Amino acid sequence: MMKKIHELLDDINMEDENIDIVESNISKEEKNRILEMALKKAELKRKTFFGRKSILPLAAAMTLILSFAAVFAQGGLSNIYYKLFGDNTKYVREMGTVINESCSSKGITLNVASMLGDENAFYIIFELIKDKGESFENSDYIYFDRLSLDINSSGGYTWYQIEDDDKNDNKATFILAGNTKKKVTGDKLTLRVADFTEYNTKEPVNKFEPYSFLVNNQDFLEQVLVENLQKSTRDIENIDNYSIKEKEKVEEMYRLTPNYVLPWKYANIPMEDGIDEIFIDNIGFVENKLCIRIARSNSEDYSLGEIYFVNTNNSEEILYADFMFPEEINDINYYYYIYDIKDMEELKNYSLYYDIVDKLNTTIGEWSVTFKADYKNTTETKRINKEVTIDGKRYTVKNIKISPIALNVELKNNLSDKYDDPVHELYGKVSVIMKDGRKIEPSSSGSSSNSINTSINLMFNQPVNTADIGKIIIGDMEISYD
Amino acid sequence: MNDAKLVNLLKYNPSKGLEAAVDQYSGLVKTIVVRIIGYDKQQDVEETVSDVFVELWKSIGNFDPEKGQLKNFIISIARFVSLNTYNRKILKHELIPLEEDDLKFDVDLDNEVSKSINKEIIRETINSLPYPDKDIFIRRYYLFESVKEIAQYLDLTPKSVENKLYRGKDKLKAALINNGIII
Repeated sequence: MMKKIHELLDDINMEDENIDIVESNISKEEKNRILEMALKKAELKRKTFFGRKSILPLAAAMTLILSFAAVFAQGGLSNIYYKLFGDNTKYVREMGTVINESCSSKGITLNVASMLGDENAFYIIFELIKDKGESFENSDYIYFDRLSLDINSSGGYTWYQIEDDDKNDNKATFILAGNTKKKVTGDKLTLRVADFTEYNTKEPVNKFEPYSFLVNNQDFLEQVLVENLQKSTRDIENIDNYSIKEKEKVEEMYRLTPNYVLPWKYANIPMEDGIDEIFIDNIGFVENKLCIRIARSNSEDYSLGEIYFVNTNNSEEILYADFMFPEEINDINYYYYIYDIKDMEELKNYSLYYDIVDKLNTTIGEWSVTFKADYKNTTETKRINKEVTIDGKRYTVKNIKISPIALNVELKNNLSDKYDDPVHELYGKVSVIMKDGRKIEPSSSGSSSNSINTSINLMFNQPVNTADIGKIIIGDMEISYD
Repeated sequence: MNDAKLVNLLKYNPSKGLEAAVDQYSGLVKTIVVRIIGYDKQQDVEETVSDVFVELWKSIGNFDPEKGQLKNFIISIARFVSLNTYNRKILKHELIPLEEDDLKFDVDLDNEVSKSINKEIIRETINSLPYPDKDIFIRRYYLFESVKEIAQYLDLTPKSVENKLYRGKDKLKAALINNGIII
């Protein structure tokens, strides 16, 4: 029963009303955080960093683990930088500072250990330290329920846990990489974290083997397939303003989405002894692909980590799912994985690998550390003031700012260009070429726009010697760098 | 980006689609979210805004461009998600003062049959309200706009908006009863 007027409108369709409301201001940084959260919740994003990839399909646990060896001090900075950048650390020795500012609560200390950066881009190493007698022994990775960095301008950042060499110690180490639109050097920053959960991942003791299972259960190979009702009709031909590239992408997604899928089998095949929360509903071949429908109930205790096939004759050949789509029925999430394995003859050569992720515990609390980005800014600025065209839009390149870790390009938008599409397509439009012809691989890139200005930040995968940079390409412009 | 393109991206390339949707509609969604859950913690606002976009992705198959605009579809999701977040809060502020929001009689929206009939009556009653009463009603009770904001938007005095809301509420009550609402 309801008697509040606003409740009467809960189920009323207002889609045809002419609703005009004021939009809130929202910064690029805020948008980035919202998008990051949405992608994590939707389990859509595969994070990449330093050229290595990892995905843990548990939404709350998409943390890339980097592996490092022994402790190594390098020019007063944390050994972590040396392990991240190897010999190229020599190019960033002047750019870092030890911070060691911390905050303790509930037996946990958050310590901001060090920072390294240029005018707009930075790396921050921070640690969680448990009180003496406690350790992170069983936890393979940690996920923060909330983590934010207060910075004075718009920007974006991402963070990763770094695998500890000493699993028995009481410290877990993380790196946060970010960039800002305005100068960050000399600013006060605040790192806030709240409520973190520790997870353990392990391979199952009694692993599910698709080949032997299907050999022993021939009925799974003779199933009547059903039409994939999730496949939408393809109507892009009627949309005029799609670019060729976008049409190709839509076509590709359409091609990957199967026309037919396995029926609901309710087979309940376990993936690990004693764990009822994760099981296989059905497995079989559809349209010359191996398909597996895996159920994951909404249990907080267990989830499925990485899942992939390895060629038993060549362990370097790893097959991840070509395509995956989720379905939810009666509070159970089903994930339909499609692998490029066409039949039993091919499957004979592949073995399935997966991890079970076990939630260990959640520590409730809030920690925040304010510190100064007090490092030497070695950024070199070059004034350009030339017009450039990027993806059909005109800009004026005002300045380029370069350091061994990143490139920042400041652009002025051309206000006389009236385009129907106000979105700035800047991804992949800037590159750095070394004198020996090598193209520098970015570890991350981002852009920030308002109606007048745009800036593009490119963080390099590895630090570079700026003296070895040959040219910088921005849209249709080449700037020789010497 | 136009709506058709965005809908297709959400269907076929969800990561890109979400990116475009957040870029285009996060300001709008934030307005709704802040109106409903308040702005005590920025983190909570961002969490809820991100929930709205996840729901948008999940339910994009239900969007029918023949029935209305994508913007309104997103507003309805933002309202639904924000009210859920609001209802989970322990310490709640008042969305609309009770004397303004209270219809003074119960309407059955629990039973499926009466819900369907009552929804139709509510919709017809709202549609029958004259201009600008209908706008005022939707802005106040659907979009949770303040009286001051409505007054500014419609170029009326706050007192005039309050009077229209008061009279509108009486009209609604009478119309609901006359049209045979199930209580």
